[in-house]
Amino acid sequence: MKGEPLLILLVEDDLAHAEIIRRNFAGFRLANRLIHVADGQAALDYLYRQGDFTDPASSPRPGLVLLDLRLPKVDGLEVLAKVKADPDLGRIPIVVLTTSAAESDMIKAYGSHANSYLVKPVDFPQFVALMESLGYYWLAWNEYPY
Amino acid sequence: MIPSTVLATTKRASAVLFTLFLILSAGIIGVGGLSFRAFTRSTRVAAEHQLAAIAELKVNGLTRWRQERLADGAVLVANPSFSALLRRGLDASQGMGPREELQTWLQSYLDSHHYNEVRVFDAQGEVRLTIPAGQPPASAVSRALVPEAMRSGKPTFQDFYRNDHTHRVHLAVLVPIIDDRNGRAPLGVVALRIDPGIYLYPFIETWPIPSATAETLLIRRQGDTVLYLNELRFRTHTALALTVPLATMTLVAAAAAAGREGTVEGVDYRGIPVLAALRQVPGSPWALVAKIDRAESEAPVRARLWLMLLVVAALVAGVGAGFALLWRHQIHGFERDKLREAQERVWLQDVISRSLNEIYVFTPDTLHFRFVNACALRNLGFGEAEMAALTPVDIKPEFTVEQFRAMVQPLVAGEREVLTFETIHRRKDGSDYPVEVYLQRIELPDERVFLAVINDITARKKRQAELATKSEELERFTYAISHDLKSPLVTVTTFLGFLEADIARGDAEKVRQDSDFIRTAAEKMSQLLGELLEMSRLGRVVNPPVATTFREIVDEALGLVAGQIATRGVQVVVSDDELALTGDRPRLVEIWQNLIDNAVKFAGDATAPCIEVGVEGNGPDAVFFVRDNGVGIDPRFQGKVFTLFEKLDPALPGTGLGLALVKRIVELNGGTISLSSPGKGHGTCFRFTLPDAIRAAQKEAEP
Repeated sequence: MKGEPLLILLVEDDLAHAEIIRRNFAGFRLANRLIHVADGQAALDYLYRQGDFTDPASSPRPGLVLLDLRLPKVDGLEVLAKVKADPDLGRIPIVVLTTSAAESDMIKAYGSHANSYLVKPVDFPQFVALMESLGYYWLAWNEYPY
Repeated sequence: MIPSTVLATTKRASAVLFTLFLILSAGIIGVGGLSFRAFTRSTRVAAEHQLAAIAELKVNGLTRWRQERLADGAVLVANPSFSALLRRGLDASQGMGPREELQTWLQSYLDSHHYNEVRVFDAQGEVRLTIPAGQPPASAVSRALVPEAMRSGKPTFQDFYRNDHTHRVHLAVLVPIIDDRNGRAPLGVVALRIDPGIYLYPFIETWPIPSATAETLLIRRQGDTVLYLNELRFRTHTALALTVPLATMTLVAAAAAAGREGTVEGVDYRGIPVLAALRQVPGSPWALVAKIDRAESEAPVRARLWLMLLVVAALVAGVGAGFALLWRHQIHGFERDKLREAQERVWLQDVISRSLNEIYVFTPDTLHFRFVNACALRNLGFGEAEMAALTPVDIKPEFTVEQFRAMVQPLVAGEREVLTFETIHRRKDGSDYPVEVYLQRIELPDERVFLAVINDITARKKRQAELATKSEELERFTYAISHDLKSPLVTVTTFLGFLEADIARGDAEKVRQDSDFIRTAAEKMSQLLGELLEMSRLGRVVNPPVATTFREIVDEALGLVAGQIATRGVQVVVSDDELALTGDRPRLVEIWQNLIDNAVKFAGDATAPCIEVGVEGNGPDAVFFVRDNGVGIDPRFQGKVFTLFEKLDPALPGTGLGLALVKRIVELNGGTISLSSPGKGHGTCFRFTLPDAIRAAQKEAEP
């Protein structure tokens, strides 16, 4: 940790799920910022600073991306592939967080160099535990190149 | 082409038949020959027996006749009465009385014994008496024999001789008369002359059975010649006149004269071949020849020969004809078979020609087509003559000659017999179609060809593509269900957890929030399930077609979404066009219901939201449209809107199934759907066709 709070970009079309994640992260007392976009196009716009996110001040570069796969407009896998293919943005760790446990999705995700693949559990304690582990791992333990 | 095996069979059958014919013919000829030989031999034996019997008869007759003649003489030789009569008769001193007595006696003897002259010689050899009187003097040859006759003291024959004066042929028995008183001194000789013409010649000449050429010869050897003693059947004045050298060995008479007996073949005095029985007459210088012309003796043989030849020829001809018939029958059979085979080939070619598979035959070395059936010509658009100059490579754009040869190499090398592959065929007009090729190597007796049977798999490919689309859709459907149904579940379970915690903390605001999330998720789930059910019923549950109109359907749809329209204050304009539609009414209503609902949803913050509903044209290709002036759709995402569970705006209500549903109903009616939008904020226009529903209505309207 470099003392600077980590910026997390949450790409999630389901508002309820976004609320779940937001609440979990808020509970960790970690001074991190969560930015939420609801579709794939918005995620790309944010990362490439285009469309509604042209101002670098209001849309700083995230240190971690939490990415759902089934997204409106541009699919999550497309977003993943595009970002990971970018020599600069590709260094940003991307954790896939989805309801899909389909093998084909995992293969495609890892094939596009996803850094992790997590399936949302249909169980409250598990979901909480997952969010806790996720938080510790990526926010406390993981080292970032910047 | 006639199969060589048929030719060989024909040849073999012909050869067998011909051989059988030869064997049978040889058998017939052999049996004929043997039978003829037996007949010839038996005829010959019969002829020989006949000749021998006749010769025997004649010889016996002659012998007896000679003995009788000698016996006649013997009676007189030592007869005291006759010697006394002769003595007295020759004694001139006794006067004419005894002489006349002798004369009378001798005359009576002559009359009773078939002698034609009696001459009495005295001991000095002088003729003393001749009866009948007036006969010419005795021949010198007769007189010369008198002393010998007297010396022998018994009767002897004077053989055939010719009278010096009359030149007639005679024989004589010379009887010495012994004087019983004068110490048995001979008194003289009585010559009893015989005319052979009276008895002997007729006896010799008669033949006991009718014959045209048979005759008996009586001959005598005379030095180195043969002397004929009798008159001959085929030549006159031969008696004692005809002589032939003894050395003429082929002459049967010469053989007889040389002392041979038995049956011989040779020639007779005429030089004609004869069969003869030769006998010596005992106690005489005579030989007897009983002969018959071989022409006559062998006449039955010749007759039989002709008959036999006729019979054999007839049999051989009959057998030959039989075999010829059989052969012809067989050849006809083969020809019938060949004809039938040829007809079958034509028939088969016709069948193959009419096959709905393309069928090609081509040679492995040049690859040129040898046979192309009608279906291939039809499919490719080439003429038969054009095809003859082409190879499979010319119609398979995916192959070069080298590649094609490389591919068929396993067939050429005999490693494989069949190759199956899919490729493309190019028509004469340049268009392509997918085919499945079944390529087989066929070994004919004298060549090797490739047979290609081709399936046009255009329909199959299309079905495969359709199936792929369907299966992709199904995959997407199940995937989407698993994901989209799971999402609300995750929401429900998680917020229930939050809810419990918030209740425990007594945070009323949070509890209300949590409940809202749970309710929204449950409602979403319910809607999702309803629409999925609807989706699954599409194409499965079909309502009976009902006659209705464009306006009726639109009115019903507007009724169903009237609440939202009123809430948002949207103005709906429906055109006056009227068009009859016949089909599954509830489904047709769903099209407009979904599209209008969609338009209302995306009316956005337009100041005067408006929806236009109408139709352009009135035929089966009439285009329906639903146009709004709402948020519009980014051209980048227009392709995704008809996909299952695709939502462009997660913030808006809906499941992402509505437009997918519309698309399926349109497609079930044989139509297509598309959308156009100048871009975000400029409204959207959906356009679609329903040709089946319009056609069904038109059909119903017909009288």
